[in-house]
Amino acid sequence: MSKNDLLKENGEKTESRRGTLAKGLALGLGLLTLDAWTGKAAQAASGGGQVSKDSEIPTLPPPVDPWQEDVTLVMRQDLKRALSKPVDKRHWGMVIDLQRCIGCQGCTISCINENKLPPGVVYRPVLEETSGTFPNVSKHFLPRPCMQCDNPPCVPVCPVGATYKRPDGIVAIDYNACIGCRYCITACPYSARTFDWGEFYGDIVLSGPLPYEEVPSLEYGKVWVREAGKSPIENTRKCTFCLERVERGLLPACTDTCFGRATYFGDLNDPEALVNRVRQNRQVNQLKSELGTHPSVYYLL
Amino acid sequence: MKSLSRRQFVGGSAAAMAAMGFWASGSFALAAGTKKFTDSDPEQAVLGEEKAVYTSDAFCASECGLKVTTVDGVITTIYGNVHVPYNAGTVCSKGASGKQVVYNPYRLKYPLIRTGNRGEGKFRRASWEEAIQYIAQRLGNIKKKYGPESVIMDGGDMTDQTPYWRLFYYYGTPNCAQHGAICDTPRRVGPYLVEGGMRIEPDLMRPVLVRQPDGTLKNDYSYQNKLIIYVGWNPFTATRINYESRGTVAAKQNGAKVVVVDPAFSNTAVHADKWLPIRPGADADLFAAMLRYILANNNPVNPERRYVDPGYLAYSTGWPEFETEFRSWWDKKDPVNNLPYFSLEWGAQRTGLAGEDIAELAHMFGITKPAALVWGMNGTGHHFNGEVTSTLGTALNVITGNFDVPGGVIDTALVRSDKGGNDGTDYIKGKVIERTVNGKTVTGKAWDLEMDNNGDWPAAFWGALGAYPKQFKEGVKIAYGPFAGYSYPIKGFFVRGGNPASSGSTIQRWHDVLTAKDGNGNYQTELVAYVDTAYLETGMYADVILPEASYLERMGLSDIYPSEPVMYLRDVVVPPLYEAKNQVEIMNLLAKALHDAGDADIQGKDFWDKYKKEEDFWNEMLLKSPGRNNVGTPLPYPQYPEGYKILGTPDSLEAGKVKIDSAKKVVQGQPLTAEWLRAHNGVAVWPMAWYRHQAKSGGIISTKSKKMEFHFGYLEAVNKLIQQSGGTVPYMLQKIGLSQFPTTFFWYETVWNPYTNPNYAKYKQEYPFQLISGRIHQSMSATQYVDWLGRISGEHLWMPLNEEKTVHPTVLNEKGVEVLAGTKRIRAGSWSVAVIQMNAGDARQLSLKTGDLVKLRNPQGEETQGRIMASEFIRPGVLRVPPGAGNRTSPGLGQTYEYRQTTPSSNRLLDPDLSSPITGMSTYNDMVVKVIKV
Amino acid sequence: MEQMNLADQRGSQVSISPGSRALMVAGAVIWLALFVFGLHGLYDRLAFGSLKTAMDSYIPWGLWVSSYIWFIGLSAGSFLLSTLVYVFKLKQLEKVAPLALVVALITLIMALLSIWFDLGHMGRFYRVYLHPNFRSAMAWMVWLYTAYFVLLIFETYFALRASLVRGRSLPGLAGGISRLLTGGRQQALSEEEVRRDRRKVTILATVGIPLAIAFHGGVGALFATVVARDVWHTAIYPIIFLVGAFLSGGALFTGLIAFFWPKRDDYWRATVRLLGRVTLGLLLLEALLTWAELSVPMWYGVGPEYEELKYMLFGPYGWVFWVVQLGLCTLVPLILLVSGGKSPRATGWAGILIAVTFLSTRLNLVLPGLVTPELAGLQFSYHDGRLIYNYLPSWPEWQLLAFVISVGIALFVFAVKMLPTLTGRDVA
Ligand SMILES: Nc1nc2c(c(=O)[nH]1)N[C@H]1C(S)=C(S)[C@@H](COP(=O)(O)OP(=O)(O)OC[C@H]3O[C@@H](n4cnc5c(=O)[nH]c(N)nc54)[C@H](O)[C@@H]3O)O[C@H]1N2
Ligand SMILES: Nc1nc2c(c(=O)[nH]1)N[C@H]1C(S)=C(S)[C@@H](COP(=O)(O)OP(=O)(O)OC[C@H]3O[C@@H](n4cnc5c(=O)[nH]c(N)nc54)[C@H](O)[C@@H]3O)O[C@H]1N2
Ligand code: SF4
Ligand code: SF4
Ligand code: SF4
Ligand code: SF4
Ligand code: SF4
Ligand SMILES: [Mo]
Repeated sequence: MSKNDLLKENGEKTESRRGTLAKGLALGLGLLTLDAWTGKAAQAASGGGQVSKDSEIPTLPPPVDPWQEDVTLVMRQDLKRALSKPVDKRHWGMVIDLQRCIGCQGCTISCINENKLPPGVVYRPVLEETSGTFPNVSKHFLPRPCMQCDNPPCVPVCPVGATYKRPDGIVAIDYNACIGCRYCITACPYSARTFDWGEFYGDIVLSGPLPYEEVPSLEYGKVWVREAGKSPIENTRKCTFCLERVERGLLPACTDTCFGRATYFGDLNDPEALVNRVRQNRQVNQLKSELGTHPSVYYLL
Repeated sequence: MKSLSRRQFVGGSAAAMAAMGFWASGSFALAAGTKKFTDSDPEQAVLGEEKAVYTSDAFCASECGLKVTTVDGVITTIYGNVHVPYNAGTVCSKGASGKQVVYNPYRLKYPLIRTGNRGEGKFRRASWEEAIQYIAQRLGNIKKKYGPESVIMDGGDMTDQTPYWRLFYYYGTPNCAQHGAICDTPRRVGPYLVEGGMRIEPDLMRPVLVRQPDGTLKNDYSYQNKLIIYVGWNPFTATRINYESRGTVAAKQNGAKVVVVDPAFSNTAVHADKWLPIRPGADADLFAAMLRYILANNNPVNPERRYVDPGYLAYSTGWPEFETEFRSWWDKKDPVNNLPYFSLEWGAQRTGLAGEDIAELAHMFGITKPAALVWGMNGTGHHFNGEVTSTLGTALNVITGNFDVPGGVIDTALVRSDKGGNDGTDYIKGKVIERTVNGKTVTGKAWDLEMDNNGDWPAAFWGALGAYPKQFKEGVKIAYGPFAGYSYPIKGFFVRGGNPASSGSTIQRWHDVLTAKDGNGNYQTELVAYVDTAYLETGMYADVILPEASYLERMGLSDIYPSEPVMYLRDVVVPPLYEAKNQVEIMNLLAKALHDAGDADIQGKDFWDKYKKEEDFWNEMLLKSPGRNNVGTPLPYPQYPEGYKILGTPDSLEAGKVKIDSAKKVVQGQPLTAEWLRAHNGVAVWPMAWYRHQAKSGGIISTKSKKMEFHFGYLEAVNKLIQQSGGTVPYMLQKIGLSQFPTTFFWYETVWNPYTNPNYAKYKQEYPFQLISGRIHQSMSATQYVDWLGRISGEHLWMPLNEEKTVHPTVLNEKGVEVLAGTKRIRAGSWSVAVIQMNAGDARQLSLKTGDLVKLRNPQGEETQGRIMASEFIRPGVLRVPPGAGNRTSPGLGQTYEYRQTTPSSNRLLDPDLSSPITGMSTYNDMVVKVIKV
Repeated sequence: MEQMNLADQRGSQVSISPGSRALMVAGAVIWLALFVFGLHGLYDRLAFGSLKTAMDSYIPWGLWVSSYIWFIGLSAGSFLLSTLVYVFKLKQLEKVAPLALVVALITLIMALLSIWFDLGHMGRFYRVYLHPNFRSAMAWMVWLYTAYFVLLIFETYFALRASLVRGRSLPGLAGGISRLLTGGRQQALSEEEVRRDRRKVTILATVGIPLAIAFHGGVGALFATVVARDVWHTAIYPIIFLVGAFLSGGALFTGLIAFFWPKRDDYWRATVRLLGRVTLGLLLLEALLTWAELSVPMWYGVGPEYEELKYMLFGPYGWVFWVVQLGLCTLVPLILLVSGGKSPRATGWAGILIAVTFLSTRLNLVLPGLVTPELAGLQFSYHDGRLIYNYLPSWPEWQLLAFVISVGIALFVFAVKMLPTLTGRDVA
């Protein structure tokens, strides 16, 4: 029995309480090791398609993957469909397959690139969760974008309504309205918000901003040039789901470049979209869903 | 550099506005949510001119295809090129960090000439003219006084060294090294001996372009792999083969099992079904035990024991001899543990793994088809006996019928596109020269003076950079070939894209030889030139420094490690900043200067007249693409004769716009050019096939016999050469008690390993730790001046364990003088540095905790210092550090340099006198140490 | 009569002893130093924004937010003390009540300054008025302060109007200010007018009680409603804030009366003793709540609150709790209040000590909620000086606080000088 089958039996989408993620993983890994290291695996394997020297190229077995194209191309089609609908009929969501994330942190840096993030501002760190003692250890990587909560604790706390929920599910910040009180930072249970303190990578040698730091970011489809005292400096910032790319039919930076092809993005309202298809038959989790935040980011265990 | 003002972004031209029309075009009006975006910001969203360039990365040897965008000529984002199947649009954290290479405040900006002593790092700014003259003049002198062979050109870690090789081959020295010489030759030895290739990798690249029965081409995304075993190979972090990252996890979801054999729980182990924490340096032992188990238990009629696929016999020679030799060891008792060689108990004793686990692994590998056994650098390439490991590993893959079958292993070196040819190799190999040997005038080829092959390392097919310090010091003594008996000193060192003073073995020796003086107080090495983008340790020893264009500012070609021929362009994304120049320009400048100074070997027709533009050079190389034979199943081009060499663009081949030369057996389509690549998303892809080694017309196997050789023709030829030249036994062979190179199964123990080599057993008590290294994203020299990469951690090797510090960083200013740039406070825990990963139990025993500063000392008395990272993710008795990431002494590294006192360099602790017997590779991973709390 | 009083006052000024003159000079020098030190912080804040602070995105609130709740507590405390007179008719404090109001006003200004400086975009504070989001506890806060601020101004005015009119004839600036505040008024207020003013004061003070409780309990709620922060997210937080306000405000006032009340007579002694006893009671109540706050979540030694509070108690800044909060802000004042209960000086010291060191209590309410990662491993994922779980206020942060304090002191001294009535010096 493969790991997938085992997990299938364990139940489909579970909106479990805190800790389930870790438990699930531990369980998964436990089963896996067992599975692999009893003779079963070898037997199963030996039964499978023999390849002998003289045979023609064997007809390829039907792939388990439901798609036959690069997933980024599939997802771009998904975006196209979604964008043809009115904005309030789509709900952007992200699915991160923890079985595929290899912890390269490419998404972290791609996001910094795309959004021209300054020092101290990060939208998608990749966390490493470790457990066990030698030699029975396990580790998994947890990329953490903004969850774009459907019940976002960061929104009601904002005294000036600068942070708000869009009808397409994205929680946005109006930089020009934000007074920089940082209340929302304390309110986000995922530490998904960081403050723009006004630093530049160029500061390290006191030469001021480096050339690429003067290129504006296009967050929320507007042009933002970082200059002292001007937004987004002194604002709270967070992952935007790369709205400015998505609206152009492009995938978020982190999704496009994901090294393990572990990140999926699309319209949760569209049953045909890959973000919904990949969740079928997989154990699905959301971070801290017990808080009732209803994240739009799902993790496949 | 044109400094970019912010105003340029707001006051865009009309064209720019049109280019960015979508911003204004109301696509965002659609997006208006509960609030309108435009409420508070009336400013029109206008950017400058946005441009995207398809190019290729060079931040690591993986060379992924990239799509880089610029705004008003400034690099803004780095995406993967989705059209390049090798990486299919993905980029890792290093790849995404490229703009911090280009715009790095510490990068080399101008040519510099040394003013202080070597190693001191004092320079003044020079003009290109002056710097080139300086180099040319010294090269001219050396050539006159000692002969051109006295100059070494080291191409370092970069793979696009071709223009420099061309220059130096024409200059007359055969001593041109490249990446492989410092990297992993023992790992490549097995494939090299057996099939004439180099890199056995799992068939994991997806998509591959496959010819369909109806004649069309289709991208195949399916994974057939059933078992992948990675031994001392960590592709998820050491991103050498891009597709192994997404491919491994995808294949696994498709049902493949993954096993990782590594003393440390690497990131690749995270997704493994089984992690086998092997004792360092015991991989040959594991492979030998597996092979014995497979041979001993193979039963062709029992489907549960049908391990060996006899089909391989038809395509190989010498196996019976190899097997007999291997079996002849089975009755011998190992003096280390008194057990029969290669038995399970013996394997268990040596590897520290359970005997059942070894049996299980062997059984699984034998029975599961297709399967892939892959070994890496530190498991294999950096051990004294890595040559044994890789030979056994190759044999295991071949006899189980996994070579070049779908889902098995592919030797990527045998199937990738050709791009070589005009680097001057033919010229130097054909060039007739004379030298006076023992008073006699001898004629030979310039190639016959090559220092490694004709000196200490006659079988080192990629050169032995690890042995350079010895040659610098003692000079080169030619022992083989027509010039046997001739010797010459090393007088010039031209290093481009390599940093051996930090990454080489026993870096103290590099320091010694580069600063050694003769009786007159002059430096023994008369010229050290350093061509680089960053100012790193080796640069500190240079007389002249030339700033080279970074990989985003120059052209080049990439064709790295794919399963099918793929060729993509490195293109100029932005013109070189400051005064940097690309390698073709530098080649031409130096060539011209040498010519003008009277070097008759160098002519305009071979350089500046021939390659007027950078592009001319690369176009010439592209003429050879893909250069692979039309073989395999499914046949890539059923419309063309099987076995013919395929040349030209994919579309012309598809359309039949070809000339077929039956005499030369070539199908020539329209030649590939940079222009064609630009018009086709930067990349050319030719169809994939499997079973390419089986073609009757001559497949991909490139040994002399065109078969997989278990009787090694290559080493036999070397032995012959040795014989003909008087029979001097290479000194490393003498050390292991051989009188000639082995031509069939061979076995020798690794060094500095008390558990497998009786000579070192005595160190077990006093030096209880084996010191190994493991790559991280930050372990290549220049990665460490990239700020972003200091902000992420990995594998318990690169952690934010920095102490609080107020620093006064310096940069090289216009004059090339280091100037104070400012004052900065680095908060504790805010910056990642190289650390020493130690098993948590070991740490408890030594009363050490994470963050403690310790000294590591080896039996030779060498020391390094760093902080402990107590970790459950490593085998007890093993210490692991990132290679080249600690104790960095060049101020050109920025913040990393500030922590040089508290970060470890294992390269200080290596044994300088031991390199692998066949390939001459440094033994980066064989050492024992003790830990002393500071 | 007025003349007499004025003469008295002048007399008392003249009769200042050389010792106290030296003290005053010393005080002025210290103040000046504080002010100059503070000005530098102000410059840093205005010129560099948040750049020079040591806050980071994991600990986004630090010294300034803590001092804001410290000051706001002092204000609420002082105000509530004044209501003992204006609402609950406590005769003993009658004479000192106007001063309590003025102190409430000044500390409120200090609080507002602190939080204003903490805003990334100081220039946009008006948005809370023009675009408030009333689901936000913080928006409520601002609106309630504004109401409270207006209320305080009116209440103080009516409480002082009678004496202001008397003060019109004072020489110099003081008289000028009195004249300015009382407009064209020439004559002393009639009995009827005085009674009416008093009625207004009573009404305003009565309204002020729930307002003060609302906004200060609300400040507690601002923290307590944050589900994401385990330590904050407790029902006891608003109560702690309130009791803390009573205590710190009461203590400050006790200290001020003890040291700055010009006439050292029996009235003074009795008042200080009464205030001391109130402070003592509140101190004990505060200690009880602190015990509850710490012991309940920590009892079984598990859970996120446990970790966070453990950090507060035993982390690198544990001394803030043990030395400052427990020692200087609780035990030492306790000893002073109990054993030196009869000595106004000891009582005064206790009050000052509590009021000043109460900042530590505030820091210990704000920071523990922030010091542990919300997701395990966050501290090892992406590093920056602005992404660490370790906060020690930077010099510029202390400097700006010094600036706010020096402004407060200046306002206080100015008020006391210009409005002699505040320290009972014009009352017959
Ligand atoms: N991110 C990143 N990528 C890189 C590079 C880089 O510096 N950084 N460098 C590039 C280059 S030049 C190369 S050569 C490749 C190298 O690629 P790899 O060979 O994969 O890299 P290493 O990390 O050197 O070694 C792999 C693993 O070997 C383990 N190991 C150490 N000693 C032993 C041993 O005795 N036995 C076994 N079984 N395992 C052992 C280490 O713990 C490590 O996890 O990576 C390339 N890619
Ligand atoms: N202890 C230990 N030591 C090791 C290893 C180990 O595992 N353990 N691994 C070994 C291996 S596998 C290898 S490959 C070597 C690597 O060692 P090196 O070949 O020395 O490689 P790097 O240290 O990456 O240095 C590459 C140099 O190229 C420069 N460079 C980068 N881009 C450009 C460019 O575009 N143009 C030019 N001109 N220069 C450029 C960089 O600035 C840097 O100076 O280290 C070896 N050393
Ligand atoms: S890029 Fe993809 S694989 Fe890499 S860390 Fe991010 S999510 Fe994981
Ligand atoms: S993750 Fe945090 S920032 Fe994002 S929507 Fe949820 S609460 Fe808000
Ligand atoms: S920091 Fe900005 S977005 Fe966050 S709560 Fe304050 S005003 Fe709102
Ligand atoms: S969606 Fe965009 S903003 Fe969000 S983490 Fe990914 S790259 Fe960053
Ligand atoms: S794997 Fe290497 S070549 Fe590919 S993106 Fe990363 S650094 Fe660049
Ligand atoms: Mo390498």
